[in-house]
Amino acid sequence: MRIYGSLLFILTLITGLLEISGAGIVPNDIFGGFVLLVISATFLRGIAGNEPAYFYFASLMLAVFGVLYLLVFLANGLDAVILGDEWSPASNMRPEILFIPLALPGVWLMNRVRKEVGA
Amino acid sequence: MDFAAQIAMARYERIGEILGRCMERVEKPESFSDMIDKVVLDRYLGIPVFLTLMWAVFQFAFSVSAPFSDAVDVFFSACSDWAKNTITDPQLASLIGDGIFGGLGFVLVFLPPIAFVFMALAVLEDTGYLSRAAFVMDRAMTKVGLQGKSFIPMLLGFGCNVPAIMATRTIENEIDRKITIMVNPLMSCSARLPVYILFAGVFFEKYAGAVITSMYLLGILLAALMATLFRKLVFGGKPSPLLLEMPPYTVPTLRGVFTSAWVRTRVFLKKAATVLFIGAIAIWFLSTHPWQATEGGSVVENSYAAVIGHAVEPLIRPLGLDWTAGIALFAGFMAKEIVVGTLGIVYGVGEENVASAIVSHFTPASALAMMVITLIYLPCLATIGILRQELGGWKWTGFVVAYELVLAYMVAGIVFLGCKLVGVA
Amino acid sequence: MIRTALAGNPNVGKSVIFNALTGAKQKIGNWPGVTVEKKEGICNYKGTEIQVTDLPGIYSLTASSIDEKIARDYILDEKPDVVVDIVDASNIERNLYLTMQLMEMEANLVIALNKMDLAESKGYRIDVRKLSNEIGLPVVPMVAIRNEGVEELKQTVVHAANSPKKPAIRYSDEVEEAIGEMEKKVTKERILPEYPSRFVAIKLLEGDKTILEKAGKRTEV
Repeated sequence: MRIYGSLLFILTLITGLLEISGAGIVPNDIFGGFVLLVISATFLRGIAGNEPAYFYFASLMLAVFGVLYLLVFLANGLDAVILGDEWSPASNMRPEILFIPLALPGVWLMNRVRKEVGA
Repeated sequence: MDFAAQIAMARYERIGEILGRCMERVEKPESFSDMIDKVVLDRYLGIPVFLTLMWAVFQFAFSVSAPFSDAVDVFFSACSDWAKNTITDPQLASLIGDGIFGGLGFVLVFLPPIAFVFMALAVLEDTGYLSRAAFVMDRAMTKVGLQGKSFIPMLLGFGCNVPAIMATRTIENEIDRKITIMVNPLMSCSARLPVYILFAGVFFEKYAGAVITSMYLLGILLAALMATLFRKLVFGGKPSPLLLEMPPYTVPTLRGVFTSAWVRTRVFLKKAATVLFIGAIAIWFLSTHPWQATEGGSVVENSYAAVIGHAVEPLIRPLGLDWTAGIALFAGFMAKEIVVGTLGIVYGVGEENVASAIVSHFTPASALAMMVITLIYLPCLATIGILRQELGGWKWTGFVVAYELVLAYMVAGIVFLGCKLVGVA
Repeated sequence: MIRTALAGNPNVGKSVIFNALTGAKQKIGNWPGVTVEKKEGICNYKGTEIQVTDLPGIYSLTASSIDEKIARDYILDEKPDVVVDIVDASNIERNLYLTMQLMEMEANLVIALNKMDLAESKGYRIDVRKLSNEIGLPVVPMVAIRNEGVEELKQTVVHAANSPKKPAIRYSDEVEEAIGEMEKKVTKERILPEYPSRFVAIKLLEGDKTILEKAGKRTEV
């Protein structure tokens, strides 16, 4: 879990910094970048203090934002259809959507813990 | 010891007796909620995590709902065009096309973001996070006469004040809720942005971004100031202390979320919508009549709306604004989105070429005054409808309208004169 | 039709129980004259209609806040057939304080002991039958979020409406003595005869402003 958490920490940190700096490959989005940095800090806190709760919650946030951007992606597509605008899936794609599968192990573990120890 | 304290103690004694006979201690494990609370109430991460989740709510409410709003818009525009093309009598065509269908479209575009806000809020409420959020923000909010639960409605105000004001329903304390509602229109909603973009872009070119940001900051500052004032002068007392029970976390159910969102959205549909719809028709009438003089609604200068624009001109002249700004601001009363469009109609140039036309009517100083007025002056019609509903009558609604007008005039005056003083024309 | 009101502290799962009882058949409005949300709904138990009114979440009944005043006035003046007092089992001591006050008002109470699953996580186990005997009221254990106990609650409400229980609560002798004396005076002078005399006596002794005002007006006339 620590190794996996570290990987996600580095991944979210780099993506977040890229989004803020607008260095190209990922969309330039200051707020989106900030979100990733918070998630990355949460992963880091989990690694540093060896507390799985931070790993679970960071994974949950990663999943929530992945699903959210997926919804925004679909909404933009739908909007383009309604307004008759041009729309290219590639330009609306966001790295967070690709991170959804990476977040699943943490979310799954979190749910298992919830069922075991009770709310 | 007085009797009130004595009986309170007696009640607890009795409770102790009862529980002593039917309760037994067991080993207490660390619960799941304790675990999660460690993260969300973390000394350093608590606030960033909160802001992050708020950003998610914001995106969900305003980005994901956009196609639905656009669909409503497209649908009613089509209805409107259809009516204008098929009905031969031009006045009736204008009434049905622009007035009724235009009005319906205008009212119903608010429906998707409202429903989405309520869905997001229901999720936060049902998971149990909302009371943690209130806890995290309570200290900062108490300083300005609000409380932790005021934060989310204030934040939502940046999108649209209508769902934001409805979101105050999560605040239990009557006075805290009232104050939150009353300062909410000062949060600069997205409809005001086009006005800032236009004026800042034309008059402040390189510094447009900074000017726009400062409008938002001005709104926040005034909201904090007014909340403090209302608390001190109008209501008295202190923000109610958060007697927060942290409910354990639960997984929300789809049904629960939809029921909660639907029941609250229905309130908007039922009450606010009728007020909005009538108002929309009224504005249509004012901007297209007298029918002969406006040549069938196309010459706005001759309409009743223009009469009103001229009537307010003496009032806004000291701020460097003329009657065209008067009409635009009057139209903005219906929805601030249409301020820019109205200027286009008045100058007869269409929305795309307004930028070049405003140079002759405004100076940088009066442009700033115009932006400040747009930020503060009147809640739009939709917001007034919702204010009346949520404040329970016209008395407080009238108070909000009045204080905003006075505040707008004062602040715009200070900004305009301040510009003159430092030599900005 | 049976008229019930849901009372309880904030965050005891009152809205979950309200939704579980009434489903989508609910009406949202404001309490008259104020901007506090009022929810009403209807449910059905074996052919008996139960009207449910959701009272604001409160910690006590001193009428010091709008919410408390709404709840108190509703119970005193509208006299619902049954008042369901929702008690959070994971925070039972604090919650029972409201229960004591509801008992003083001589409302026909049913206790819904919600969040039963969480009591143990707080480190204790509650014997529901013993609690019911001790307190003299029907107690329904629930986990409303999982829909457990909802049918039992309806059944208990219907039963309570047909055979109302108003058990007396007795406090320490010293307190009882004061209450007894005041109660005699209340009965003799017919102060607020529409309310239970013991309740009026307690409120007068507590120096409750609204009750003092109401009583004052009456006795002066």
